[in-house]
Amino acid sequence: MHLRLDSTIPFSHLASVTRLASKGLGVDFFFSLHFARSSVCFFESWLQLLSKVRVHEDRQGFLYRTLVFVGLFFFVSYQIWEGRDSGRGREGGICMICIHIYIYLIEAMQSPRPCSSSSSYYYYHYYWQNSSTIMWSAAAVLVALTGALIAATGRAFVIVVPRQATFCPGYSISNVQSGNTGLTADLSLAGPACNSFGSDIPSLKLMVNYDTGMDFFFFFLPIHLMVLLDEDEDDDGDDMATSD
Amino acid sequence: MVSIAKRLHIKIQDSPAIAYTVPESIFPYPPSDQSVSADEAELEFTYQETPFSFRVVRKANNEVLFDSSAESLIFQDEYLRLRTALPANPNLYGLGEHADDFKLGTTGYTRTLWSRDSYGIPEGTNLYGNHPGKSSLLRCLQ
Repeated sequence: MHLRLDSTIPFSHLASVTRLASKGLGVDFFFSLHFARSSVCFFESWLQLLSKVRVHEDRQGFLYRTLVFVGLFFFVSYQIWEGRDSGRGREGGICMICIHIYIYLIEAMQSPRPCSSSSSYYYYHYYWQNSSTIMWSAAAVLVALTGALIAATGRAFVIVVPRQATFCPGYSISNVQSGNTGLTADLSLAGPACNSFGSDIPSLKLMVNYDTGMDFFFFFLPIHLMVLLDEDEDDDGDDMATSD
Repeated sequence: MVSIAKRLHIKIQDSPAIAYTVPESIFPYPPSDQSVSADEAELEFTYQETPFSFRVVRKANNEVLFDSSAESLIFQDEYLRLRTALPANPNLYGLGEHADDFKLGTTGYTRTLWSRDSYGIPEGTNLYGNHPGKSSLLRCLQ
């Protein structure tokens, strides 16, 4: 067993921050979803969108459907990935999709034409003929995709960092001055610098000293702090006595 | 009272000394009148020349308290590496703020030293403070 004292930038942060942020946002979005006026209408058109296979429809529809499927692919793989070792990231992944759905819900609510049982196909066409809707949709898909990608692949960044440090040359000791109570020595770089994180310092000093272990803890307490502690103790004692 | 020669002070510093070190007013070095001779000391410092590594051994039972030989020392302006072997079933504490157990894990456990404000205080990651020091409790002699 070994302990490493490494100080490196943790790339895992990006992934965990994204996961947790989407989790937090997702909860709000999910509640809004339940209160949305035309959610039934929306889901109808959304399902229809997914189920359409004909390619000769309008291009945006096709593009959107492709993106949705790619997004779903990452979403599902992310869920599997996370579910394997901890259940914590699952909600994060689900809420990615919640964001996705929510933005469409807003659009659905802004539609001037109410959803009727026979008009979901018409609604779908209206939806895509509105250019701002297309823009919003594209943005939503991009956001969801990026989030899903980072969340799904973020784990891979964790392991990689300190590899290149393995090939660093270390130091060699010289000029060892042994005294009665210890030693001092020079350390110099034992090969070409590896400069893995910043530059190698070419020469170091080593100091070793044998000491007694007496009174060690008393050095840490400055005198003014000791005085304060004494006063506090007296005051508190008096207050307690009178108030009780 | 008989003094107990249980302390060994090891310092590795860049030369010339440019890197920040904790000031003596906060972390005082042992005063010279508390030095003891190497023969009196209960601990022993030994080293390998190239690549440089060192061991700290408790003389009474040859217990290895610190051994940096597994990997070479790295001393860079943005990175330090000093690796030590741990005894079997070690009791490790310290190394910054986190939401894990007080006694640190020792199997595949990474403790990142990097201050950050972390939403939700997730397990297994670093938090606001980082303190590059650890304490390892070992079996008592008597």
